[in-house]
Amino acid sequence: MGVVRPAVAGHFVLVSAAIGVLIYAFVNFDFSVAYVASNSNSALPTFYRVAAVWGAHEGSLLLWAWMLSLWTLAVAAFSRNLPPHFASRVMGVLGVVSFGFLLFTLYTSNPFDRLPVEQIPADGRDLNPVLQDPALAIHPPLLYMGYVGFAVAYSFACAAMLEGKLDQVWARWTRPWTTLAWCFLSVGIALGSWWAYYELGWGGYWFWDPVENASFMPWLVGTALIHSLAVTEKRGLFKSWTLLLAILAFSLSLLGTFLVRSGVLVSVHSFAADPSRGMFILGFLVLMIGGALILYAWRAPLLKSQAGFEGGAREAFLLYNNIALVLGALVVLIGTLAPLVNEALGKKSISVGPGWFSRLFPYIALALLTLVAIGIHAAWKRGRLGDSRGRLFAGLGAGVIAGLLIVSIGFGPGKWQSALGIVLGCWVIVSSLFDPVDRWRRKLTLPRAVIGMTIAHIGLGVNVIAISTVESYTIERDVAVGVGESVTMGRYAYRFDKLEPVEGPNYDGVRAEITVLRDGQPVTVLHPEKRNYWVQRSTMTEAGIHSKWNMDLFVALGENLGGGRWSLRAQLRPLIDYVWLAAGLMALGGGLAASDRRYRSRQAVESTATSTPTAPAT
Amino acid sequence: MVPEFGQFALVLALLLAAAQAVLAWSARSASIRAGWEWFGRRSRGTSCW
Repeated sequence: MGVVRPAVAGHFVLVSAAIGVLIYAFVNFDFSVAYVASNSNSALPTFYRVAAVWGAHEGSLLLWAWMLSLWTLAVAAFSRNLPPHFASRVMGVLGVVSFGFLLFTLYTSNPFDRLPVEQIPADGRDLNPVLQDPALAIHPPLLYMGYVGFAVAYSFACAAMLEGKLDQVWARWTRPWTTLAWCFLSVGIALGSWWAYYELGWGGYWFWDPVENASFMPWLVGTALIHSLAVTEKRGLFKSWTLLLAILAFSLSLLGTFLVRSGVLVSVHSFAADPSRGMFILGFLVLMIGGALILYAWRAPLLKSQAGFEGGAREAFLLYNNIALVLGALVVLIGTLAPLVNEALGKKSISVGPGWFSRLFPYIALALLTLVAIGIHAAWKRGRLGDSRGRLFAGLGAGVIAGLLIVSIGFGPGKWQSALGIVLGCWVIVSSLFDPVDRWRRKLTLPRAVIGMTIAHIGLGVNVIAISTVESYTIERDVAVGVGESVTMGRYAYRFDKLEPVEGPNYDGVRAEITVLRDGQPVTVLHPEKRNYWVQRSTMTEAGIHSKWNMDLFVALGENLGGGRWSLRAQLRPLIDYVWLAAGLMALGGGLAASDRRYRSRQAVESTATSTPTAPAT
Repeated sequence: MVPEFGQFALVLALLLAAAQAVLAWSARSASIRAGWEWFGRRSRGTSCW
């Protein structure tokens, strides 16, 4: 490890230098670089010139490689209390992953390729206007931090299998890294969803688009993994299952990169037309997943757990939750890959729309929530749910009352699934508060792990309440209006007051002025825009949104219908901001849990000498 | 800050990633370790770990 650590630091410095050079080329309009010429323009504001670095394929891969070098450096810096032989294994696996991605970048997707002198343009082709937005500039780095972070969990899993040893100390080493990666992924997904809401003009928060699904699958499996790791750390159980989840989480991250970056989502034919990139990622995917699974088949039988647990124990509930999460990921995977497989087999093209997902996923989510709300009260090993029945029924009662109050007073009757979702969300929130309140009343210490877990579970409850409310109580109208006309939705009216030209650094367009009235009284003025970006000749929508504590007033400007009339999409979306706020809460909870004292203290990490029998080391 | 420098840095990073993988693996592999030690003795130096 004495030589490996400087190598890791040097690797980070070099990849940082490479990404620094690319940023410099973008900021200084070096259109002799093909990637810069394709994704920038002299009229592009400086912030977006930097964000343009990861605005397309080549730069995204470089960002991927840089983040991997950053994670590797962090592991090298904070792994001084790991046994050197184990740290060597971890660094070895991370080195292989780094090598594969850098080879891919240099071989098929070099962002530094120069254009021949006669082809250097006077100005660039501009960054895709869809990406010219602050949220989308930050979204990919956060998402990639999550994707790449699962490489650490993967390398810890491979190291454990190679060593033939997996114990509670291993879980304690692995857990904070995995949780941190999960936090980044949570915030990254939420930012992408928020961006789609206000930028794409349809006002939704999730569309079950394959690109969205590509990030959701590793999140679901990652969620299962952090809970499975909790059992492994606490009880020395689920060893093989935890390893498999670590392999799956990273494999799905790689699969997401393959789906988004190979062009296969546009059409399997576009992948076949330029197969070099797709084939490389596919080969890399097969190598990393196949290698890890072979290792798993060979070594996992050595890592059998000896301890047991009862059906009502916390371990059992975490196992049921794991199964529900993996089942959810499987539903998303099938829905995402089925059209591609069908097209690849030369059959009639099929489309798996939101219907497939919304028919199956909500039921899995409702089952999951029920298990969370009950499982929180179960004790380790023996369960003894009967002893906690007071808490269980108090939580259920409070949840039902709160849920029914929200439904009946706040919004009125809606879909039964939404009502159930709101009740279950409230039940999860109330249930998760019992433990910290009890500790506080008994004047016991409240470790960050408990605070973090509570906040994350409250985030889950808030998320489900918000989604259930949005799904049932959104009011939406698509209308054609002229200046002076109004569209009415319940007590609200959107009045189209005027339309004026607008001009930005690299676009022009029109901006509408829409006054929102409630019971005839003005509430706010919204300014949706329709922008035409000059260079790429594309039209973009900027929604006008006014966020209140309990709902969003949303309006998007559609097409010019002629004769002074415009199509307008007006919406009232209750509690929608809480969908993203909840994701922030979950990430905050995860961050607090990952920074718990027992992970920071060297002594604490080492003191959990395992009593669990382990397979002999090789 | 010419692009070629960025490309050169990436190539070096690639080599270092390979070195990182090989060095880390070799620290655990008895045969590779023996090879390195033999090389170390031949060059009258010490092995790198």
